[in-house]
Amino acid sequence: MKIDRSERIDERHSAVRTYVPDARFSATSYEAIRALFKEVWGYRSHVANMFSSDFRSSYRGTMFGIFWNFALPLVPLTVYIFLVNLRVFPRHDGLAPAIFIGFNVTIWSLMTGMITRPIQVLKSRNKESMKTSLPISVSIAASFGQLCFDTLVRLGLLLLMMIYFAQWPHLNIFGFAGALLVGMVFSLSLGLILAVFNVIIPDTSRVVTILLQYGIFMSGVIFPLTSLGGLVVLEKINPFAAVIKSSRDFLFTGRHSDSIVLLIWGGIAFIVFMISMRFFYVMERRIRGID
Amino acid sequence: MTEPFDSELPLMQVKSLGKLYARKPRDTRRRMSRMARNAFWNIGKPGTAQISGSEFWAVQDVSFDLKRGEAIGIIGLNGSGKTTLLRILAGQLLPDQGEVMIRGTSAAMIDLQAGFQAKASGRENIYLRAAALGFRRSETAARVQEIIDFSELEHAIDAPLASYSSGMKMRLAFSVMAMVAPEVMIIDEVLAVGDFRFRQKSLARVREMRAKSAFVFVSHSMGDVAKFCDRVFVLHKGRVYFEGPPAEAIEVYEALDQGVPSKDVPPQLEKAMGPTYENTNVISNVEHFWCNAEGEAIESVRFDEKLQLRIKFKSLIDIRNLIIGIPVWAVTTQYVTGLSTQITSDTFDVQAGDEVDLMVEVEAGFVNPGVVKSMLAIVDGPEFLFRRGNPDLVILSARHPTWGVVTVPHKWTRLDAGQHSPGVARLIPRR
Repeated sequence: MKIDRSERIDERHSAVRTYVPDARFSATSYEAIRALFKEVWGYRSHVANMFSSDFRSSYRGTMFGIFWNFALPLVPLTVYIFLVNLRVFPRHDGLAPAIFIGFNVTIWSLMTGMITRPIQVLKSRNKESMKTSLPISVSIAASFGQLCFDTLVRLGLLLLMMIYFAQWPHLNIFGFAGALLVGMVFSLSLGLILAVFNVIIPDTSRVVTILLQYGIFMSGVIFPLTSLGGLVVLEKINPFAAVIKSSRDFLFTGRHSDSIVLLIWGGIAFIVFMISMRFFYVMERRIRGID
Repeated sequence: MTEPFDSELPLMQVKSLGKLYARKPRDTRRRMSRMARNAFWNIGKPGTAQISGSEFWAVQDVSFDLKRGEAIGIIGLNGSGKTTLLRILAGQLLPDQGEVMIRGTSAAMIDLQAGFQAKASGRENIYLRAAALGFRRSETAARVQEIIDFSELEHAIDAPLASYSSGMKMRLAFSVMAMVAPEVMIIDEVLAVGDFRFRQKSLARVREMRAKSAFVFVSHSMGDVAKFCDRVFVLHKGRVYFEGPPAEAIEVYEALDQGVPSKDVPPQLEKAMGPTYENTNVISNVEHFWCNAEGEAIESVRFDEKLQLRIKFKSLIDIRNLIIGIPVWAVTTQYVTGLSTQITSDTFDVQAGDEVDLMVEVEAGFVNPGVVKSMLAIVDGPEFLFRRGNPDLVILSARHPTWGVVTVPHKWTRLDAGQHSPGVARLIPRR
C-alpha cells in the first residue's frame, strides 16, 4: 500500500509530520477515508464540544431556552402537515397524510442537510480554518451532530403521529437501514464535492439552493410521483425519490417493489463516495483561507 | 511509520519553503480549479509552482533547522511574509514549494480568535483549545485549574469569551498552550496584546520550557527578540534577507524600517558614503549595475553566488591613468571593503570616444547576507571623473550561520592523529 508521506501523523507524542506541496495527492480513496475518519475520531472531543457549544449558543439568551431547539426542526414538518390537512396537497392512499408527509420531509431534510451543511460550514469556517490547525472535516462532523438531533426530533414527532393514527410499521430493519445508508452516503458525497467547488466557484451554493427548492416537488416528498403522470420516471432516476420511497416502504410495509433501483443507486453512491472522500481529503488544506 | 526518535535530530526542518499568493482572487480560483480538476480525476500532482497572472511569492526559498532548546526569531516589515511562513510551519497552510518536517508535538499561537467560541465561556474554551491541540477532556480537566490560575482569569472564567478583552483572550490562549507544553511552539506577536507583567510572566514560562521545547517566535518587540532568540531571520518581500545573531538582525531590520533598501539612503549612511560627482564633459552614458552571468541587471543574489558589477561609460577624453574603485558599506554605515583596479593592478587604455564596458567579479561567499551599499568611482590619476551610488544589492541568506559583514576564506586542519572529515569548501574561493 502506498503511504502518503505527507500524512505520517502517528501517536500524538511521537508525531513526524511533513508538509509538502503535493501532500495527500498520492493517497488512494481507501487511505483518504481512513485518514478522514481517523482525523474526526482524533478530534472527537472537539466535535462534541463544537456541537454542544453550537447547540447551547443557538438558544442562549432566549426566553424559552432549549424549547427552541425542539420546536424549530418541527416547523417545516408541521407546515407541510398543516397544508396536507387543508387539502392543499393531494392525499396519499395507504398512509395517513400526516405520516406520509412527515416521514418524507424527515428523510428529505436529512439528505439535503448532508448536502448543504458541508457547503455552509466550508463557506463560514474556511477563513477561520486557515488560522487553526483544526481540520475542516471536524467542523463538518460537528455540524452533522445538529442535523442528527433535528432528525431525531422529527422522528419523535413521527412516532407520536404513528401512535395517534395507530399506523403501525412493518419494519424491515436491514432494508430500511440500507436505504437510509444509500441516501446518506450519496448526499454526504455530493455535499463534500459541492462544498469544495463552492469555495472555488461561489455560484455553486446558489444553484444548489434553487435545485433543492424545486427538488422537493420532484422527489415524491409532498405528493407521490405517480400523481405527476409522465414524471413518474423520477422515482427511478431521482436518487432522493428512490431513497425516500424505499425507506418508506421498508418501514411501513416491510418490503420494496423495486429493489433493483435501490441497488443501482447504492452502487452509484459507493462510487461517488470513494471519489468524493479522496477529493475532499486532497483539497481540504488547499482551499483554506480562500474567500 | 514512526521514525525512530532521535533527540539530536532537529525538531523542525524547513527546506526551500515557498508559498504563492495572488493579488486577484480570479488567479487564485484559476489555480484552485486546475488543482481541483486534477484531484477529482486523480490525474496529476501540483508539481512545480509556476507564477502566472497576479501571483507572487509571499514566501520564497526559506530554509532552516530548529533544534531542541533553540529559539528562532522572525522579524520583518508588515507584509514581509512572517505570518504566512508561520501558518505553513503550523500546518495551517500547505506550501507551494519546499518542505517542512516536524518531529514531535507542535502548537501554534498565531491568531487569538482561532479555535475559540465567542459565545462559550472561558472555561469551555479551555477544553476546546486543548482539544484542538489533541488533548482529551479528562486530560484537560486534570489541568484546568492550573490553566485558570496561570491565566489569572478566575473571576471571569465562566463569562462568555465575547466579553473578554484581547489581553484576556491572549492570557487564556497562552495559558492553555503553556500547560500543554508542546515540543515545537510557534508564537506570533499575539503576546504583544498582554500587559507588561503578564508578558514577562509568559516569557519566563517560555524560558522554563526551553529545555524541552523549541520555539519560532515572531514579534515587533525587538527587546523581546533580542532577549529571547538565539538566531533571527529578517524576512523581506518573502525572502530571508538576513540571518544571524539577534543584535545584527535587529540592526538590519531597523535599517529596513527606515526605508533601506529603497532609494532613500539614511542620513548617517549618506554621510558615510560621501559626496557624489559627475563631470559630463569628460564622461557620459554611464551605466552601472549588479548583474547575473548573462549580464542582466539583478537586485539580489544568493550568498553562494559570485557578485558581478557591470560598468559601461563613454569617455570623451583620453584617460591616461584610469582607476575604478568601488567602496562598499553595510547598511549599518560600516565601511566594509573596497574593490579597485589598483588592488588588482589592472590597467586600461581608454581613448576619447571609447565606449567602455567592464565587469568586476567578487567570488561567492565573502559578503554576508544583507544589503550591499556601494559607490562607483571613476578616477583619472588624482582627478575624480564620476562618483555615484550603485544600485543596492541584496545578498540572500546563507545555508550556514554567518557573523559580521564579511566571511573570509578559511580552512580547518587537524594537527593531531585524530580523524577529520573536511567540510564543504564553500568558503574557499572556487577557481
